[in-house]
Amino acid sequence: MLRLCLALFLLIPIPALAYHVPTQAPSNLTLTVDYENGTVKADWNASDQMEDYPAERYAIGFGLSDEVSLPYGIATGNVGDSNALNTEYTFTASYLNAVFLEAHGLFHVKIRSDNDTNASYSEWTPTVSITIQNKPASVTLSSYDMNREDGIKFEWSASTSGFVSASTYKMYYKLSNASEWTLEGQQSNTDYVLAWDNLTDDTYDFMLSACGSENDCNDSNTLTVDVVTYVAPTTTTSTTTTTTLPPKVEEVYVDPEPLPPPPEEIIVDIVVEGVDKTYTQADVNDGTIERDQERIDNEAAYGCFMTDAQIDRGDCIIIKEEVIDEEIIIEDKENVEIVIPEDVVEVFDTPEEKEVEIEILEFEEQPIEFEVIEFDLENVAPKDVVEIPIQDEIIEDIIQDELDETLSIDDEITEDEIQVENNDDKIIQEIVESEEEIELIEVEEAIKEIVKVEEIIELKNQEELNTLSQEEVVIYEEEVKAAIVEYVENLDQEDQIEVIKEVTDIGITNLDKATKETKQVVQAVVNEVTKVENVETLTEEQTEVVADILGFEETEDVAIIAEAASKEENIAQAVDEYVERASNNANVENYNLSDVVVEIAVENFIADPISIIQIDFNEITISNISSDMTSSQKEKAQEVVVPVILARIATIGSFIMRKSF
Amino acid sequence: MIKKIFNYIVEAIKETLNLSWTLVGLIIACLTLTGQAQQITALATLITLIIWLLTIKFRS
Repeated sequence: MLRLCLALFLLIPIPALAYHVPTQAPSNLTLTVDYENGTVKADWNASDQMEDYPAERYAIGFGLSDEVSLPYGIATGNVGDSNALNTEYTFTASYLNAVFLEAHGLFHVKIRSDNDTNASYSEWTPTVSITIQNKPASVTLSSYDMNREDGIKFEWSASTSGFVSASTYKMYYKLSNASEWTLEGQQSNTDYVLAWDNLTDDTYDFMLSACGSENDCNDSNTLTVDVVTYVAPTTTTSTTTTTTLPPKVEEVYVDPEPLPPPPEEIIVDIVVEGVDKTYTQADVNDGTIERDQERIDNEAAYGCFMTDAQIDRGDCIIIKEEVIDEEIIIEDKENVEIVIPEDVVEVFDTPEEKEVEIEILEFEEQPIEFEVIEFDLENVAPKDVVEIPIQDEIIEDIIQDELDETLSIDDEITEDEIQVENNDDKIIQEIVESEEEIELIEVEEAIKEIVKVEEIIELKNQEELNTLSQEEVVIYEEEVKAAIVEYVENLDQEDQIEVIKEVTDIGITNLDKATKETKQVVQAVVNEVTKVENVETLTEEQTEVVADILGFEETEDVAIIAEAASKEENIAQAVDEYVERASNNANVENYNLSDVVVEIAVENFIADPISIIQIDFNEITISNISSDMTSSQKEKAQEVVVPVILARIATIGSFIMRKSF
Repeated sequence: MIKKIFNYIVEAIKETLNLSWTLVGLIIACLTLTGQAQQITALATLITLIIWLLTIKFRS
């Protein structure tokens, strides 16, 4: 038995005693540049998948700069996707152009294995770099025409499929049996006539180099041609008869067929906002005219110079405009009744006026609903409850208290009355929710005014996203995030604080219904203002605002958390994910950054329990042992630790008591 | 000798199980703390547990 136990003890691996790598990094990363298709392929080897948490997908860091810098990231896919475990990734020229605004230079890549299920991530592989030259794709030389007086003419298709388009083409030729090439032509056209002076009747090789703006060239295939120089048609004249020899068919110079005339440019003149605008055929084709017309119509209808797509997306606050429209129109009508004579009343019959009238009717439906509420409440509530200005200031608690009071007056509450109470609760809840939604829209609009995301990157709506593949969606989201972070980094501190003020007005947990872009903007701002160097420059008032959004009561906590985030991974991660987690925990009361820190600590402990005892003795100073903890964190620890200790004391006490009896 | 070691391991497991609730509390404390406080709590817990297990005979 003892031997058996010993054998089992030795057989069972104990992770705590072994070299423990939960997720292994990939290996053998290589990069290959394909100038013909304009791609860079990153290829790597997966791990043996024997680790505790094998890779579920791969994260790819990349950058394009003379120094080794990898500011961008992308993934092979989402967990479970068919391509998530691909061990290669291809960067296209169009993607590099979109991210870096150029597609040549020193390109850097590194890879990491991700196990998102257990929040376990490997180390990054060493960075691998490769130079992408400013070199276009090669061209194919196959077409030529010798039936010309001036020389042999070559034609080819432009080189556009590579990283860059060709800016010049160089024509080389040589006798087939010679070794040295002769450069003759150098121009940007996609045809070239090599003069007969350079050639004799012999076999020649021809080659064309497509070159980029920095003179990096890509050679075409070699075209071998048996050259027969052009002979002009000859004419013989005698004194008696004149005979014109028929020219050889192959030597007759034939004028090339005239090119078809260019398509007639269609010009459309439309008056937009009193300005005569001219549109071309291209504008007609790509729908510019239609969009401009939509903007005009929507400005007339809603006061927003936007397309239908933007209106559908909710970029224009129509509800507010409706209220204002109603007041304005009533005033206008009053004025019109006095000033405008009857014979010009037809002015009111414009389509815009009709549309606004419809909106007024829609608006008028809401007070009707409120009247029904008042009628229902009369049975149970005094009139002063009814007279609360619900539409202006809705405070759920006040209304609820009033209802509770009035309900308690009645000794016998019938089922009908309970039903009424439930209905009232629902209605109040709906009103509060709609109020919150309106506030959120206002906050989003205010943030958009400060951080103009649409100016830095073209946003896609849900319909457009549905047409993209999952990989393209990931690329798009990464691009948006990177653009937002870059924009926010360059934003004035005052503007950053302004964004936070807007959010604190409604509470960060109420961002749960905000758009992804809004959350990313707020997160980027939170990251910026909690950097150590930025916290030092905050005024007292600004620090209060930052403390407010992080859920701290003490302003000193902002500096403490900034310092801690620069030293501790858990806290840095908590700051980085604060907005997302806070908005996901909208129902939790007083949710703050300390809660996120605890969540992250628990997740990391479950993923790697050993990490909790990785202690750096140099960092420990007994004299100020809790100085690097925020007040909120101390409070959180007290809430947990004290009850546990008390429970333990009580357990021991009861055990001693039991023994003594 | 092997029997003694085996008996000690059994005893140590028993003692550790007796301390289960205390250890849970201390782990939770470590997770709610940050910075130096977290590190010291974790270190103190570990050292105390080792001392506790090494002094089983002495305490009994």
